[in-house]
Amino acid sequence: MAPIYVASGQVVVPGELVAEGHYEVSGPHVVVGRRVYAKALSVAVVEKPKRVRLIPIKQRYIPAEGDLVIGRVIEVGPTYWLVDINSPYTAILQASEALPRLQQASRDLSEVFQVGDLVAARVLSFDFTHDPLLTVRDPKLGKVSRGLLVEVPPSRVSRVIGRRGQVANLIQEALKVELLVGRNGRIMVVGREPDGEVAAAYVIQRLCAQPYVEDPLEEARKLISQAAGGAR
Amino acid sequence: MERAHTLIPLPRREAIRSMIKRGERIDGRKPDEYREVKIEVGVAGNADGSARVSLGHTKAIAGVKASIGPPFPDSPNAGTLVVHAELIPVASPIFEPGPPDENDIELARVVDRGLRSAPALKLEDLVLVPAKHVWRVFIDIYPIDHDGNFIDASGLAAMAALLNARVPKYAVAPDGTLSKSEERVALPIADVPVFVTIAKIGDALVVDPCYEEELVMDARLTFVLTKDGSVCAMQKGGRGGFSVDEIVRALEMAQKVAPELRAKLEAAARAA
Amino acid sequence: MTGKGSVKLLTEDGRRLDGRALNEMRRLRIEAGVLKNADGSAYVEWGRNKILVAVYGPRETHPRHEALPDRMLLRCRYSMLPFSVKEERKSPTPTRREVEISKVIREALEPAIFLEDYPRTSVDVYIEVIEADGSTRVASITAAAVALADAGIPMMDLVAGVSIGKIEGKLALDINGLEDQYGEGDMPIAMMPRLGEVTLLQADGRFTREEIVQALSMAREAIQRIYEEQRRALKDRYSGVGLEYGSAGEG
Repeated sequence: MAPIYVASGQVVVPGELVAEGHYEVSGPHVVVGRRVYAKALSVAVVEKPKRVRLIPIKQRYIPAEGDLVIGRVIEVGPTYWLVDINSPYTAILQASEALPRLQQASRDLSEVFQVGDLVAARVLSFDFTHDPLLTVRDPKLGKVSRGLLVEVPPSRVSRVIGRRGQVANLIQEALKVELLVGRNGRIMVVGREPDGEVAAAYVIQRLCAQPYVEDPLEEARKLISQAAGGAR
Repeated sequence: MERAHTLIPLPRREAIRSMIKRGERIDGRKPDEYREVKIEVGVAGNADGSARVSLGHTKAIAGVKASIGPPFPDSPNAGTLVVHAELIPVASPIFEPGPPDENDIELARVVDRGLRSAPALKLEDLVLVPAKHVWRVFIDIYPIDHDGNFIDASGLAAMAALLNARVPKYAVAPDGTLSKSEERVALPIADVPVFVTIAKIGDALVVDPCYEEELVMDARLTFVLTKDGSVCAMQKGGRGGFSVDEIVRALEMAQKVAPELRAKLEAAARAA
Repeated sequence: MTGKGSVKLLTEDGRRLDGRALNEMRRLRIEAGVLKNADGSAYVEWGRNKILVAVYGPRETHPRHEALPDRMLLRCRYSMLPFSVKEERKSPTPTRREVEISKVIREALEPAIFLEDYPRTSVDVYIEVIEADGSTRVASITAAAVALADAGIPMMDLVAGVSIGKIEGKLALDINGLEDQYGEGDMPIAMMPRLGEVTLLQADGRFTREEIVQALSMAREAIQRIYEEQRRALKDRYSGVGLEYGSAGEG
């Protein structure tokens, strides 16, 4: 039996030996010969006897094609906007990805999105050599002017969505809000009433406070009943 | 550089400003409520005096070094005080490395004016041999985590470091030669000025702004207050202005919190 | 006189002036994640040394022309606060010593980092010495590696360092300020603890071939212990134990 050197919930430092032999390891790691080492500060989770997941404790958001992100306009150019997407790579939104063709040449772009505006956008492309390109061509995308912005570590966003969207659906139904979940760690909570927004923001923040949560759906359920109890 | 850190999303800006209109603040404080203040002295053992102050997440450290040297030619019967401050990148991504810029220099000069005009130190008691040997007191201040209002944090840290300072006792022979003893003594403290900054956001005034409040504020006003409650220095900053009425209200807010801040300074210095 | 050899650094029974044996290290304590704004941070107290390190990154490179097309740019700045020294106040302007130390620290850390993972970005390491008592460059490297890991920077190993000195003809582990000033030699060494690769090596003073071999072996053994403290600091911080720097002060 090939040895494994970590237990679930254990914090591993870069360079720490995780396992030796035939293991399926996900998350940042390096393989040298038969040995698997952690590559970044992470929490280890032993998912199956032969499968280990390393969840990085801090990781910047790296754009991937198709990701929904919530960006912040930081500069208006003549034919584009520069958008901070909470990543080491600043994104570009071309006018052609936001406006009908006829308006592209004539319109002052700051009338559409100004500096400081939040926009929901999708990543069109990114390959490290060029800055990521965004699009807002989709009914759900564009300027976000209502709701509460919640910021969480990007590596923990997936637990807010949950398997087949279960966690997000639960929050939305229980607290009567709509979630716009940016892969870049920015989540907009839009509700009919401010109380629901504040409660949902609390649930999301608490759900993402720890590097690892065993059962996000169950945890969300608990947090929702706490939040609802606190509101009364 | 780092535009992203000085730009607050517009919806967030609106939320902060409309909360303040209702008398609420994003961190749950009341308009006239200061953050939790922690003061620790003796944090840098090679300094003659040192302190670390935190206002919530904002932190600054200050150190005092004193040495004997000639006085300034225009004041032969006084010791000297030099205040230096630097907004180092450790404290925030908005601070860049490099020689002091206008923000560093403003900070150092505001603290310097507050300490000098109070006065915090009896400079005339720092003379060993007139026109020849006086104490030269240097205070160096470094914010190390910036969540707003580093002026107050710096001023409090500087004053705490002065209260904490102990320097060797010197004997002066009739012929003017100096001999150093093992005994260390406190610096001659005349007053304990405290720094209180008020931010104006819309029509509202709030004490001790946090970083997000500074990003949305119209202007700020710093008061330095002496023990008897009078003002010994002021500094207005930011692009907006204050009405006369607002200035009076701001002063009253500052006067309300000053005695408690001073009590904390004195308690921290005594505890060491 | 204040020159080398003018102060007796060993007592009759072979102890050092602070009571340590020749192969004994000073007390070392590291805390990770002590600052709110920085992406990663660490605070080290090592003997009387007190050093604070902040790391930012990976982030967009400014000025943009400094960005490297194929890898991350690592920048380091080591500085001593004016009141950190025993002597008179140090001028806040960077000295030639600080510039050189910044460079060797960067080159000690660089081999451990997967720079190619984030092309065109940069990582900045800011080191502030609050109180100095000898061996500050290796203490800085030790803390900087923790701060880099705390920032989530991909690395193949941590980096830890120690200085070996020569006092009264004998090698001494982890020399302090006095031993640095009056001793016959100083050899700062940093390694990747797991890999055993040396990433910083300097020497000031005369050493024989045998002494160099012995110094490296003393360092290697000490670095394993330093590495344990680095790991403890990182693990404790994220197992819900660590403190913010300065949060233990007077209420």
